[in-house]
Amino acid sequence: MEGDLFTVALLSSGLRLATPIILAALGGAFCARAGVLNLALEGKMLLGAFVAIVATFYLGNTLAGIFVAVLLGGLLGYMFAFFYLKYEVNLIILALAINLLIGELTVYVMRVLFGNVGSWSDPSIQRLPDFEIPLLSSIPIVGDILSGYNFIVYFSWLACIVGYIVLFHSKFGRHIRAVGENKQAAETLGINVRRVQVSAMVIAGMLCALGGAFLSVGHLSLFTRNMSNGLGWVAVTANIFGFQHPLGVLLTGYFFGLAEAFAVRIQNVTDLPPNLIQLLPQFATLAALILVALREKANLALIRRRFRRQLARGEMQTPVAGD
Amino acid sequence: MRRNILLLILAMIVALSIAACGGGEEETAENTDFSFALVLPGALGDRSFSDSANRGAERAIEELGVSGTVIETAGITEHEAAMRGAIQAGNDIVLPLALDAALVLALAEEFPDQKFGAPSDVFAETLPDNFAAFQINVHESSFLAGLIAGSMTETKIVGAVVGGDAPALNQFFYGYKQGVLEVCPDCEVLVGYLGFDFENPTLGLETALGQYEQGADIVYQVAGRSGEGVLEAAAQTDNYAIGVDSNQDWIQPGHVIVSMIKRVDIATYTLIEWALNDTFQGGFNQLGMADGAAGISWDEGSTTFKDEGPADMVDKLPDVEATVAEYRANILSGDYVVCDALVDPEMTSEACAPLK
Repeated sequence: MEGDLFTVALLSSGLRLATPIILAALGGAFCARAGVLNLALEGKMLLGAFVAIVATFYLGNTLAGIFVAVLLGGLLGYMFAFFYLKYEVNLIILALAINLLIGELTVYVMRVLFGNVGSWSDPSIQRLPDFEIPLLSSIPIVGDILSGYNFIVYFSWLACIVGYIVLFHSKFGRHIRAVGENKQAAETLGINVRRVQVSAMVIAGMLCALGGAFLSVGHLSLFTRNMSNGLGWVAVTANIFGFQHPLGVLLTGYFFGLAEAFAVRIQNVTDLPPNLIQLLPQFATLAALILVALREKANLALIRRRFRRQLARGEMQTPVAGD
Repeated sequence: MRRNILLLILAMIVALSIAACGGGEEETAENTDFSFALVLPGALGDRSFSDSANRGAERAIEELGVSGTVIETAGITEHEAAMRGAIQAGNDIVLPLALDAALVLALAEEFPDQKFGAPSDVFAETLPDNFAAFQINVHESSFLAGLIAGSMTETKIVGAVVGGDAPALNQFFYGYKQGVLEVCPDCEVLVGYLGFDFENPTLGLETALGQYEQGADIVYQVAGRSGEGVLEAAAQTDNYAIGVDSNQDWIQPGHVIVSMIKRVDIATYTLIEWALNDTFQGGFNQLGMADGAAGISWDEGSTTFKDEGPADMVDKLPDVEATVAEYRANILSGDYVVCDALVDPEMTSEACAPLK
């Protein structure tokens, strides 16, 4: 049995569990780079999960349902931006309000539409089909791990790569990072700060909604009350742990997904108490955050040392932005 | 300020008129002066435990002509407030469903004149005189589910996804395991615990997928809403699952062979009936398969699997039904003993020890 633990199945289970985390964390990264703390990932994901399945039910087409969910997610992101930029609502309060509102609103609408508040599913709802990538799937083992998912899983990888190119190798990305580094300086340079921040938040809303849609019509084909179940907060962590970098987020998201898949599977091959094993993903999160904190501390110490050395040598210069 | 007061008064008028309307519906009944409140641990619509208790409450309103309210809560933070509200509303009996024992017992002590009745799952040493509790024992009916799984598995591996590692939940699991091993001694029984996460179907799905990958072809779910993911996993991988608490055969037709039924509705109804007829008595009451409070969905005439399951599996059903009937008779007559992990959490008794 021991050998069965680290199977291809474990790795692909991790990839499935990681998908919503990766998408939401990527959205969080875009916001963080634009200088907006986005703690509403959870609520946006839940909205996506709910809208996707309801729209799928009424439109009779899963792709159309996901499209509607992504649109509404973008709209929610825009609302978030609107309240923040126009009325300068505190970001944390705004995020908590959105999370709470969506949590209750989905339950309310579910009751109005379908008369129950626990879980809802309908036989007419088709789960998004899995498909193999033509060439990739014929490679042994690698093909089994990287192929055979639905399009949202592939999209999450692609989105991270595209996100990286956009953020670090395009004009729009440079603007986002400039706004995030120093809003006033960016403004003086003629960058439309408002537009940049709104775009980042709309992108985040759409990505979160897609992550949520994966939960309700990609992974399962049902909706339950509070379906995002804290994944949005895991995404916030994955974003910090991934240094707000699209490729970092891809790795940390997968790390958390894998930790979850590992906790699920390890029970059958060990005598450790199951309650302890269930804590593994939480331990992983804690360890990740400690590592990030230590790295930042080390960075600060390094900068301070360098500064002192320069001071001692008398080569003090004006610091360059972005250093 | 004045506007606020006006709003408040308006809100009160609306609330009162709604309450009056609610009362009006009951006028045709005969025992309208008797009322009960059922306080749920969460919201309705779990397609399992709470819905079952709600059916009992609805039957009491219909058949006994009493009036009653079903109070949904949003988790543990609201339980105390909901209970206090129900007590202050002057209900003849308040029925906390699977709420924290320490909370409900403290309230029972604080309000000695209020009758309390717990339809299921109160874990305490003793109960005060104003508190009646039912324990519905499911080890025997889970054993029947295990017999079915053990008789029908083709891979000789079956699984169970259990909400958490606790005696009350292990009562389901070890009864099931004993049933499987009884008809298939060389079968392997996998178990996945979910760390008391009853609201996470994604977790249930991945846990069940893991068991199906390990070769299981039938998985028993004992995990509330997380368990819906198990039923879904059965459909996704074209395997089979066994439902729990309410009849869940219809949720994934043709993939849910049978459901283990826990008739929380019977306990709910009985408690209301007792309070109404003044036969209420504090203390523990055990219900089980012998009382018809636990069983399987086939007893209720569920033929979903027979109608929609694949032919080679359906062909096995007559033999399986005969096996189930045989063991049921032996259990009810006391000739066969099923391990009860709730009474024997250390698993030392003769029935339990081999399962550890």
